[in-house]
Amino acid sequence: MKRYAVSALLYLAAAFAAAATLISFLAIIADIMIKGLPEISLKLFSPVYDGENFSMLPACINTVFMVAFVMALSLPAALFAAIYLSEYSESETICRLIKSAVQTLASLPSIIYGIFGYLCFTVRMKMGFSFISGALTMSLMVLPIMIVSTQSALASVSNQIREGGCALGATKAIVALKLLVPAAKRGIISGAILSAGKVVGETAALIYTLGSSAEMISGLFSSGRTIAVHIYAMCCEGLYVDRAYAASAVIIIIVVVINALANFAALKSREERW
Amino acid sequence: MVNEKICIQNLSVRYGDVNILKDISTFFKENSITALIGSSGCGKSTLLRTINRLTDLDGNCAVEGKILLDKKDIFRDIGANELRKRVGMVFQKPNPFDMSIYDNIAFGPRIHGIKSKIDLDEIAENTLRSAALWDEVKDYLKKNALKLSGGQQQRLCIARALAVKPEVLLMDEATSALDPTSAAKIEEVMLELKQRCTIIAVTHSMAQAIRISDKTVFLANGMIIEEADTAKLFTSPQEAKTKQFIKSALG
Repeated sequence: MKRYAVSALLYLAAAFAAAATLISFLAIIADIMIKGLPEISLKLFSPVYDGENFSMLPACINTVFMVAFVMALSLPAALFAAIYLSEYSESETICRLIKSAVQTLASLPSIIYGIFGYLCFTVRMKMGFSFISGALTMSLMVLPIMIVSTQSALASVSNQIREGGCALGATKAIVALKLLVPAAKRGIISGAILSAGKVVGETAALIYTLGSSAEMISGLFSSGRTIAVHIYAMCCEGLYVDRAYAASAVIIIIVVVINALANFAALKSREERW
Repeated sequence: MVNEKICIQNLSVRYGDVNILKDISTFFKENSITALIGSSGCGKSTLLRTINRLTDLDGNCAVEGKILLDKKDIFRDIGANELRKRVGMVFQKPNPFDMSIYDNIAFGPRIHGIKSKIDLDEIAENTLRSAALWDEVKDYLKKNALKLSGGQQQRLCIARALAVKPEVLLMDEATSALDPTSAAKIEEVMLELKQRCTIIAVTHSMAQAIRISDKTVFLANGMIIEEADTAKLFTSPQEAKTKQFIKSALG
């Protein structure tokens, strides 16, 4: 009888936890959508920001550039680092050392990256508050996540594929690039999506590197703000919380669209296997 | 004078502390099929994987002794990739790559520098014919190889191995995962291939060894217990262990 009681209790606890997660998720979304959607107006999407319209269009565009640039920098780097870790490194000790370093880096709070980026890129390398110093900082930040996810995607590819390639006389590099990476594509893409999400949502690492100028960036060395920084700035100023809500609603829509697109792409590539 | 395509001299293989093969010496004749038999874990697959140095992929694996391919030491005189081009392998589980049938076959030739579409087309047709798969797939070469049936996948893997023109073909229980009809087709293919390849096949099926092989090598506990022409080994085995194994394996 006691056993049934325990199991019923466990069931209740699990159900409660699941419900609480779902409800808090829905509550956040609902709160933001209810307060944010009515605030969205054409004015918020004027091409140029001024003290009247508080346009978030420049921030949206900056965000897109930021995501694209950070991906272009970190995806190839992460890919090769992961290939090295999973296919090449012979010494287990070095491999384990690198992996634990990477994992530690992946769990550092983002403000640490912000301070590092500020001291290193903004000040020391004299890049100032600029797109490039923000992008470099963000790349450093997402690189560990992407390395870990890419490496585990590669490691989960069946050994039969490695052996099959090797048995034809393929070098390790060819096996890795032509067979393992395509086979691990889904895992690699989902790591990249996760990282893109981090870039979209990041503020702490960007405030001291990218800066928070409200204009659209005009080049690598111009300052700007992403949507998340925009929301942060609006909230900080205290007077424009309604605009922050509107921007939050937009950011949620963007994230949902990015995820949907990525899932669609993954699905599509699976169908093409025909 | 027999032509010894592959000659194995005092070969020992260890995985960590475990001796898988213990001081093995034998040879494999050119243009013949040799069957390796023995119970699971006797080292026959390891022997096969040492011949194309797939054992290199495992850092725990230590190899001692010599294997000669056309009198050249495969560990010293031939690079691993060059060796694997000359010594092809078909695995127990079909392992086609996640790409089209055509690209599977073209994979080997492409990495060895053949780029011309005309050459690749010709290789695809020839190897698929040799593997008795051409008639079934000739209209679907762009189809993903993973959509083929298990038996077709395995014949594709044979075609893929043949595409780099190997001199030796290692087959690791290549028919054990297949239905009898598919297995019979592959046996026919093997008999055909014997004309241009030296085939070494690990098999669990005594009937198969009798049907297709010229010579049979019986291993137990990492040692060669007995080797002889197949007919002779199965009709009048000399060693007690061989007799016992054949008796239990044939039921």
